Amino acid sequence: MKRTKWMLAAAAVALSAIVVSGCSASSEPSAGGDHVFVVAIPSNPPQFNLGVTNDGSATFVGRSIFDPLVNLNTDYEVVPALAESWSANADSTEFTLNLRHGVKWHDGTDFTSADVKFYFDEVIPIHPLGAPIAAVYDHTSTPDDFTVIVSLKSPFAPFIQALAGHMMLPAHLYAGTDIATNPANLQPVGTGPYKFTSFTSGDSVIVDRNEDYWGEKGDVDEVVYRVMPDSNARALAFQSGEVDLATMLPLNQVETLKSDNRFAFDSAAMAEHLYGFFNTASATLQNADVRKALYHAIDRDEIASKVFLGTGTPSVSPVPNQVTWAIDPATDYTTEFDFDLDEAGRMLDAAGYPAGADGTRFSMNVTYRTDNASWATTADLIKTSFGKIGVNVNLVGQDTQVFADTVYTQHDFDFALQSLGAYADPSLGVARAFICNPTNGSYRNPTGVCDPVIDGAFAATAAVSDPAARLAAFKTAADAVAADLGTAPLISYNQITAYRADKWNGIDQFNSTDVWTWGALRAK
Amino acid sequence: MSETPLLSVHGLSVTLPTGRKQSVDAVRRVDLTVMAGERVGIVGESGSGKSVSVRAMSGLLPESPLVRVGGSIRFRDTELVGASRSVWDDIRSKRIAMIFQDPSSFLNPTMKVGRQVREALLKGRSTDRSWAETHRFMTLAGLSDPATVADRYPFELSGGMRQRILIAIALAKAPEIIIADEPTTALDATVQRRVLKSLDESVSQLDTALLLITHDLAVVAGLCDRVYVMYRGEIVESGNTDQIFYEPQHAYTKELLRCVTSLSDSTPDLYVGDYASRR
Amino acid sequence: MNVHWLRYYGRLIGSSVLLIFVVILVMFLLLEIAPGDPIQSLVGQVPVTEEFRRQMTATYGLDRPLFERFVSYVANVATGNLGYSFANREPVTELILQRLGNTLVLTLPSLVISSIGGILLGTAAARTRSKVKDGAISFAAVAGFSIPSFWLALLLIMLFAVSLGWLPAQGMASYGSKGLSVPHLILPLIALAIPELAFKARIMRSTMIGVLGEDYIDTARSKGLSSFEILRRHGLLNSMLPMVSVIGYSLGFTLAGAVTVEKVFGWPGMGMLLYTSIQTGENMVVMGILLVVAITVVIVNILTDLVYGLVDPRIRARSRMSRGVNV
Repeated sequence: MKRTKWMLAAAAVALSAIVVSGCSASSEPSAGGDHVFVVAIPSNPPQFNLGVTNDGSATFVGRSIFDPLVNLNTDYEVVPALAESWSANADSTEFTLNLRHGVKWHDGTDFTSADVKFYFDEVIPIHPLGAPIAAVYDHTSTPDDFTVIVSLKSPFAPFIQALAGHMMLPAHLYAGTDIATNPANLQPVGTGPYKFTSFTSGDSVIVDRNEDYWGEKGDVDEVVYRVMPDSNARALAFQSGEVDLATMLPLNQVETLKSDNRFAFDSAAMAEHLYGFFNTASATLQNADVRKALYHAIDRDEIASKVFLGTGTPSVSPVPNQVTWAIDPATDYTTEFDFDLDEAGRMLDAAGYPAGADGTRFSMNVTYRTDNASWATTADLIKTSFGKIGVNVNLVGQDTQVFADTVYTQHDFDFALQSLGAYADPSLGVARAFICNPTNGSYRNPTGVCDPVIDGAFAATAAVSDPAARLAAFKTAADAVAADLGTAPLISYNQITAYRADKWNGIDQFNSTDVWTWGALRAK
Repeated sequence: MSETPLLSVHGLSVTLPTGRKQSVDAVRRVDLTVMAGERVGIVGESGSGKSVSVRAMSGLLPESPLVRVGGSIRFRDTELVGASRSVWDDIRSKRIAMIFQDPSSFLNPTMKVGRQVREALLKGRSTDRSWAETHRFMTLAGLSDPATVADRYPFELSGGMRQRILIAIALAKAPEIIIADEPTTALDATVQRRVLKSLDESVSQLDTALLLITHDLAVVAGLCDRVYVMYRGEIVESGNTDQIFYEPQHAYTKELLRCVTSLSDSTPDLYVGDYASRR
Repeated sequence: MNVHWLRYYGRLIGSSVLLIFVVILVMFLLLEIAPGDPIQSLVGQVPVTEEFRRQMTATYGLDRPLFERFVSYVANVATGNLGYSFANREPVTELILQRLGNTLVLTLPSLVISSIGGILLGTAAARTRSKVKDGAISFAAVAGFSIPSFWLALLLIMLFAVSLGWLPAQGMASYGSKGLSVPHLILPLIALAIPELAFKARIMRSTMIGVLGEDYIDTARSKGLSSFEILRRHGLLNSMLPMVSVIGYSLGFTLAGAVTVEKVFGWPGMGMLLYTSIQTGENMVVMGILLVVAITVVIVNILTDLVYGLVDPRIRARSRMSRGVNV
């Protein structure tokens, strides 16, 4: 009958839809080798040229394909990579780099000083993080294939530190082309421990061991970077054993995973800093005493324990706590601005904001980003705490793009939470949260504070190379920040790396540098 | 007339829910018999319980615990009150056929009418299950070009033709009794006459009993041997058609008759078919 | 096939093109006023250097007036060019085409399964005289429809990937193998299909209850058809009319639902691309995907019209008449 046919047809469509989708299935094991190491990356890498993208996932991948001139370890010390040694002239305006011999690009071409010169001349000006060097760069000379002499227009002490994270690109593929659109951006050729094999957009990137690598070679034959955008699902995939290493997991999930002895956790090398930005254009918050009173009213120990679950500590200075050499022992915001609600109340009374009949002094917004649950929890704790001294808080949670627009462009906020990476040297990653920002650039100080003392002090930290002099300059900056308090440093922390301790040895050493040391990875 | 009636109803009562808690006794203590091949009419105004009674007899009351049927309905020797599904399936497919009031809503709008007739044929008593046989029943119901009509959808047919399809569906089972519930009420007068004529002729030809439900005494007059008059859920009067027409006893029957005569000038505008003239 | 037929479909296609144009216009303006700086997104959460901003602005013509950019966008769309992705350094059309197939292997089976499952389940709920069974199905349908899909997806991963270890948690194939593996498909498919199935079951149940109350069902009963025969021959097709619209619309919902499901399962489809692109303010990609979805929905609406005619002879006849063909 016709109806029966119709039903059959529908069933056939359903079946064929399933079968067809299953037909293309191929689940042969990877052709790579015995030891496959799977890394979960949080987004689809747009491309792999780290000269033009700062994308987090592209960085994860690119750092196994490319090499930097120098690397940075967990003690914030610069260690050799493609540059074996270096020296500077007395006023930090000329730096000489001695390159490693016998290094080859993955396509067989020799790596030479010409590649480095090309990088300084052509890539640094358009590099997302190139600004500090571009601002002082003059020219590069290459006396021979393995010597590079970089001349600067003005002194820049942390020049070598600033090179950490700059991954060298092959001049023979990029010179004379549009670097931003070069096909090699999707077929990267580096000098690093792994060679690019394939990229399936939205799914995975596969790299295989570079058997001609100049450095130590690890046990991992093939690294698979899998795109896993959802942080909870990422944690579950890690828990199910699909992943060997994952980062940016929700901290509450990390707590759960800790009880499983297959897993271990390690801090990433790079320091992160959570800031609270006060908008000094706000009628109430333009008074520095009000800002300081509110800083007193934030229970940062509670935030460190409840939100960061012990992976963070209350910041003692503008520089994150991990960068110990840049923090003068006399600077300690945790005592200067200790959690003291009574003191905060007295300061607000004195500033002309007594509690009204209903106990309320004033209302304000706390703006935070919704991409990470930690910021919402932090904002909530602050709301509770401020409420106790009669300050009503409206929580404003925003998407990344909206937050950037509201806070940095529109300045439509009272107090905003933002975490920023500290980078290799505090004069690179930290100063931006405090120095004057007249052009309203994003991810820079949005508070409206423009203090020549602060700007001068941070400039001095970059201009001198003598450690004592630099420390003194950071002290000056810290004191000036405490006097104005536009930007309040809240918590210093590191991203947590979760890995399979039952399968791999040497992760701590692997993870001890900003650019992973793949040679340290040993299969169990 | 044979000794055992084809259909005998004793003390039938039906209670229908009117709300979550309330209910109404739609039919009370109805006694009724139809002999094989006999033509019986039930007359009464709308709401008198005649439709509910015949729905109970054909098992088409809503299936709900709130609908209660009491008394006895016997088809030959089979008790139908509380009968199992399989008994009902047999009764409905082979013994009792229904013709409903509104041909526009009682036909499946998305199925060609030929197939709808054929379904009844396939379930019924007929041994010839060909399309030709389907078409024969359609012809019997008064459809002149059955092959063409069979390929149409209900919306493509006139009201009269649709009613003939419903009649053909009833005939196709070759049932022992056809219950026709206001079969022509929805049609205009001339069409009504022709449809009744078809029903009359086809029932005669198949020698099927007929239970005709109508509010229109005029229809009953030309078609039925006996008449039951229903009023407020009860049978108030019954007897031969002539007897009811010329010597009505109950006040309500008299009232009904007055309505019929008052509609026309002098004589009742009765349906007079072959059957009535034969009688 | 005649002039009237051509005129009917010409009008349909003309109005569809106009609709797509309006969609482009509205989306273009909305994305224009939405916060987000594509150059900043390119760089990430670090300050943009002036040199970089200047170069990118010039390269991609961001300094041109809005109207000019709109006109050139529409002209490009007409030739199948959906613009250029900043971050990916790839034409948007190519980017979408790479992902479209992956989304379809997820959404089409989901559409089929949820439609057939919804029809069967809804019918079962409508015909059962067991209050318990009907209640159970209705409750499951409400629950299935109300459950947030990301939560359902995580729950499935927790149960089948973590606790039981039967199925993979992420991706569409094992590492290094191209294409798609059925075990990888199962969980995302379930997560995508369940809310849709539940919704369709609810609609089907109420439609079927309505149809089963129709007079012609009494005719069918009086023929002695079994309740299954009644359902199959008289109930199903007549219940399909509302279902055809629901299934048509649900393709849009399924494509939208794929965003969440693809994100949670790391499924490299168009939904994940949309999610990433919204995160990074890649407006050209967002536009492109929304346009593809809009065009799909318009096409499906036309198809729905056609299927309506297949299901209902009355509509078939009406459109025949509107095309000037004698019945």
